[in-house]
Amino acid sequence: MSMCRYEFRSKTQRLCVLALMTAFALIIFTVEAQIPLPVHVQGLKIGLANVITLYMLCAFSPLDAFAVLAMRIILGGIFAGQAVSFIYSLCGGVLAFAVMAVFLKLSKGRNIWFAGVLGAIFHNIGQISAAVVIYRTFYVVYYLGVLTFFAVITGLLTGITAQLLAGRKFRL
Amino acid sequence: MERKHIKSTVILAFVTLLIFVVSGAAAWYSYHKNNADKTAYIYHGDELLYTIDLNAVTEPYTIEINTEDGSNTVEVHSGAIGVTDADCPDRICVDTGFIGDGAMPVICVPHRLMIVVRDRGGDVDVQI
Repeated sequence: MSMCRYEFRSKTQRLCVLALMTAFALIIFTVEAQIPLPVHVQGLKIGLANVITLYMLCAFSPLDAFAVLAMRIILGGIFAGQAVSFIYSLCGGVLAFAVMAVFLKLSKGRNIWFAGVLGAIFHNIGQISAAVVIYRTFYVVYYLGVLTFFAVITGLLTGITAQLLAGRKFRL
Repeated sequence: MERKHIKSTVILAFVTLLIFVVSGAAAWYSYHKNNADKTAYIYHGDELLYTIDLNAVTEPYTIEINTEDGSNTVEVHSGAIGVTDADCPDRICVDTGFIGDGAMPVICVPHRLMIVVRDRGGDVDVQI
């Protein structure tokens, strides 16, 4: 097993690591929003902040990973200042997290790259489900094809990054 | 153990490739679906604001849509409709351009605005 897992030695250490990871995720989230994409599709983004969620799931516990994700979505929503985007972000983030956590549990921490692909795909499914509720129509489901197509690419990108990161040993 | 690991990786790689190809085909269909009786429906949230027969349009005109969420300028052409201006922050609705054929709606997420073009006459109206 190439994956490195860590145990917190104290509550203070846990607090510090979670705060640091939340800061990393927020920085990535904010910087990514400024990167122009070559294609303009509603709801499409690279999702680089997912690298942090994936890494947290691999190196720490699902609970710690979820804490960082929840804080990032809430603080990111405040920074972006859009109530609508916040709902989409929340639905996508929570569903993607659940699927990634279950996959990593089943695969015993192997094939992290695939968890990235699953996360990206289910993030879109969560967002489209939110759109179905908001618009009360199924037309938005047509976005699933193109969004899944790009999710495979962006998911591989974030998944492979997280896998390389999870293989590194850090001093805690 | 190591062999089993490689096998699972190869299987997952094939699954990924399959998803990529299938979703690519689905995306192609969404953009290229042929609409004969082009009818545009403009929604704000779940409320239908306008129904426009695009084939009956002879002179292009614009509609200003002002809701409590913000305003969008919709341009109506013969056989095509699109958002040309909006005061939303991302302006993805403007970048989406005009739709006529295809199943993809134009969506302005911050303003909860959606424009759908579909075939009114045919029974091929695919609504899952």
